[in-house]
Amino acid sequence: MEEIKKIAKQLLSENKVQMVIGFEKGTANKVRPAFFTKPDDVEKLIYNEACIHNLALYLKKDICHHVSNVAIVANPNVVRSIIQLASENQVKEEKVTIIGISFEGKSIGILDFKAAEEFAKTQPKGLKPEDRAFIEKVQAMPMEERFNYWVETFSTCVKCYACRASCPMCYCGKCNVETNNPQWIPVASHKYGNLEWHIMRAMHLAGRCINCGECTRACPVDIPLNMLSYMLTDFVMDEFHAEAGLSATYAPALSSYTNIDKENFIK
Amino acid sequence: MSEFEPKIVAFVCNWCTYAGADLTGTSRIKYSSNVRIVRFPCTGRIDYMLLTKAFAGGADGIIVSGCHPNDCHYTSGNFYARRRWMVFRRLCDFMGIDTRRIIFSWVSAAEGAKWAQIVNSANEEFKKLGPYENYHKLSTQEIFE
Amino acid sequence: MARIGVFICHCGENISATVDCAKVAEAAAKFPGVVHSIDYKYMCSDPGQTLVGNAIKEHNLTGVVVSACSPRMHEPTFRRACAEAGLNPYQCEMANLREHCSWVHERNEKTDDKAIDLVRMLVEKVKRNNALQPIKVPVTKTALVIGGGVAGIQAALDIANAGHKVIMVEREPSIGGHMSQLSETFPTLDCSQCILTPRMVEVAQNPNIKLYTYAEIESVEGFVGNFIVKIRKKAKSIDESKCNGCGLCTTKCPNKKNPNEFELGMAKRPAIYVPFPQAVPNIPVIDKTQCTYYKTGKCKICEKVCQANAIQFDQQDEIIEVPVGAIAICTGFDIKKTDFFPEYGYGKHKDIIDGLQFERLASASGPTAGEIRRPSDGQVPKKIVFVACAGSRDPAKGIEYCSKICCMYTAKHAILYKHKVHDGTAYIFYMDIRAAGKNYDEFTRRAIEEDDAKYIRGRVSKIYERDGKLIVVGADTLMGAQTVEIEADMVVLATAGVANQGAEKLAQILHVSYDQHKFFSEAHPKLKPVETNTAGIYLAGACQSPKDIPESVAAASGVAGKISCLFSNSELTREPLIAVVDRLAPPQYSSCTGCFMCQSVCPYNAIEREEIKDRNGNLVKQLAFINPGLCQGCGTCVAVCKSKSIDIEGYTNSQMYSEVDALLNF
Repeated sequence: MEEIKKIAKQLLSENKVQMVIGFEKGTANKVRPAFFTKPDDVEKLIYNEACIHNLALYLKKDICHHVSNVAIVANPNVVRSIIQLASENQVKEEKVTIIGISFEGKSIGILDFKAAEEFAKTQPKGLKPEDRAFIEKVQAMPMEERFNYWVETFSTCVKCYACRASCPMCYCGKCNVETNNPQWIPVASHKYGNLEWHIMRAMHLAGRCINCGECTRACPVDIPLNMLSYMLTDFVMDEFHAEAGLSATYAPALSSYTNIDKENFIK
Repeated sequence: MSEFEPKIVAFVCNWCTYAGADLTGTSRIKYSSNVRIVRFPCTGRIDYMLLTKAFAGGADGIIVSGCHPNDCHYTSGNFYARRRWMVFRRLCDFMGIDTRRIIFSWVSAAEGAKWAQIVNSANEEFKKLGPYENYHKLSTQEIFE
Repeated sequence: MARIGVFICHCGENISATVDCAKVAEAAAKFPGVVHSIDYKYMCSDPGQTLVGNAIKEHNLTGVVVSACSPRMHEPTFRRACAEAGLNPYQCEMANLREHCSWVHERNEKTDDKAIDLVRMLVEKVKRNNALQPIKVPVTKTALVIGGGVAGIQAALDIANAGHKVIMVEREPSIGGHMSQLSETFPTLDCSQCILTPRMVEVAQNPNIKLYTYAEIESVEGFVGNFIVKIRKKAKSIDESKCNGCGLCTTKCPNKKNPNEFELGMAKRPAIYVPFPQAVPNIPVIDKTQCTYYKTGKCKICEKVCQANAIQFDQQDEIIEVPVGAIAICTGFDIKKTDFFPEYGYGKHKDIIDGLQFERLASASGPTAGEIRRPSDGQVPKKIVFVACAGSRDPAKGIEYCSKICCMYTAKHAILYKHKVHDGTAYIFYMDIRAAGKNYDEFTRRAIEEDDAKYIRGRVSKIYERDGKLIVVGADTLMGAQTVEIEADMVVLATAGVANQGAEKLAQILHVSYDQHKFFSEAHPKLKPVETNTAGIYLAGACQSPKDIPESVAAASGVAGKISCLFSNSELTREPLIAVVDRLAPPQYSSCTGCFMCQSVCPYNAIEREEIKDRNGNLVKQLAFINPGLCQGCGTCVAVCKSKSIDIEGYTNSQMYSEVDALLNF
């Protein structure tokens, strides 16, 4: 903790960065993302087990646009997000300083992209047992029940797009759902429109999702929509040995191929 | 009551399957008239959102077809398409969308007979499965529930 | 407001026998936006086209749907007719009522319904068509010929004689290819070198041809009319401008025991060498893997004896970049070596040779000066067995095709053998004699009737050695498949012709397709036999499939004709059906986010990074930009673009969406 503060303070006072993204104490016992621009403010920086939000999100928000260099307190999820964003040409190494921190709050110091890649590779990968159990449970349902399960689950969706707003990978300036010529996805939150929205989101995240779970945490009606992209992440890893967020030169699974990709359904 | 006739939409590439279907015509091989072919430049162009669109619009079955691997007119469009379909099919499966209703095939410009056979067997399969009420009703009566 | 005209063609009775055309026209007239809908006997006829033209003028049409045969057949016809009537040609679409409807379905109401659906689909599409202008691109009137065999030589000379510049690149130190290794050629038995070498010299002397030997293609970028080719000139260790080809270095080189590639290992050559006496250019190269100096740092005898000071030990590979407008692939073929055949001893018997080795034995300039002597002990073989279809037409060996040239050259070998060894006997095991071609069958008859070649119809199951003889065990299927055993002195395998080594890599550099045997694929097996699927890249000769000399030469002249046609215009016109990245007003500039996933899927490297800068030169945004000269219009980028920032003309999102919509929601 103190070490993180020290690094942040130093970066700001030496003007190596103009902003540090981290957490501060919020109302009640909560924490909230904070944007420190003055060295003295850094005193307010905290990191505890409540600090789970994926701060990489803010790198693509307006708040970072007018700052030339940003430092970010990065737990492994944030690190992987940054690497993935870098592979998609969305962040530049010279503009982002990663202050690494473990999930437990242990400082790892400043990581350049190469070190960040190495760090990301050492972190636990793949599905957590509870996620796998959920996916297997859904998978075990008969097809019709599965369909109805998702349709019913999505039927509570109010299309608030909190999932989109909280996802570091959803950085498009104009989202597909806002395209109206043609109107790919109905904007109203009825069952059909909701289903298509979630199909599209899952497809867009296939091979890009780093399993931070932010979308589901953000969802006000508790839709387990992260399970769709988790399931696809797992599938992409199995089929194409591609995993997002580990290499800044990664080509996402759906924009690459090998001529020996194996399927068993094309006649 | 007359037999159920499925609505089938076929998404095909211009260079292989569209030409293959032309050859089916020149060879006068008969197949089911339930299919409507939509022509794309390449399977790489085919958007999965059009597939869900077809289901929502009332299609009971879909055929997606293009050049065999290594034969793509644009060298690699079908390889990207193949990956896309692998992932999309997995997602559909997970979401309970009936993957039996989406038939994928490679039909070259020389495989007129294969095209007829793909359409006919798809037609039989979709007949057995019946109308895709589950999906259709999402986009029709239940919208304003 | 859209004003669409629909024209339903009967195609004589081809459509009208199955589809009720009048009913379709009537239904189409009610589609929203359709202001004119008729049916007619032959839309593609002159009066039919006039109907379309007049309707465009009379009804002030903004779009036309011709419902007739496949657009692959007559789309250009009707687009032209529209253009002549003043409508943008890209506002014309065709509904395929013949190949996709009348010819494949029964006459009934369902078929009529389908026809109506197809028309509705295209009406909805054409409403959303954009008026497009053909893309004009300049042409660099220089051709690149890859490969200096007989096909490459022919193509280069024909193009050069048409007045265009040619750059020829050959991998070996000399041009000439396989033809320069042949002894005599079928069916005339004229000497191969005698007819080829004058043409080789012509290549060297033609002012329009620039020749790079010992060079390979490093990369090709660009598109028809505007390729940029990088050529790697491998270091010959010789200054070509100084060398006068005296050959003293090759005679003085002390390291003379290297296998001679040109003689297929049946002779030796020095480390500094000219592949064969008539080589063009007549300039030696140093084989760095063999040269004593490169291996030990000592020797340099060639440098000492060279009067012209042409030896340059420190020469490096050089990469040169040339602009060309068209490319001819003439990289030829290779043959399977004897080690491919376990049943014939994996190549361990010295006296089992391949057809090309026999050519060298029979050649007056070969290692035996034209006498047929077996490689093991130099004896003249009295009994010789030729095995045709060695590897070819053998699915078990992965080569199911016919190598085409072997029947003829095996007959030639038998004749040459008889001419040189009068008391010898030649046996030929064959599957079928395939001698289709001018004077070809006569030639094989001559081998049998005049030169007494013993043809045995059957395959050879094994060959083994016994007491210095090769025992050839085969079957004679015309004699009840009885086993035949021949004690031969020498065996010649007419091994399968295969794609040249490196063909696959070259195909990938050039972005052209190839088949499972790595032979290059033509654009159409009948109507575009010398084109590839990539505009501006052509192919000739045995790189496409095994071919004999006349066929290779004919294809090469065909390529030269195609390239000359291409070069006869100062600019090219291309279909404008290409992908485009959207543009918005600042500060968005585009909905493109610059993730460049489109860039990684583009097969043509057509997607570039465009930088948007403010007035002070600071980078505001990086956007995808699609080079209209390179884009071939596959649309893969459109489907991978998450923000739907890319669209492709002719198949736009709104067109495809409304086509699907029109089929289902009405």
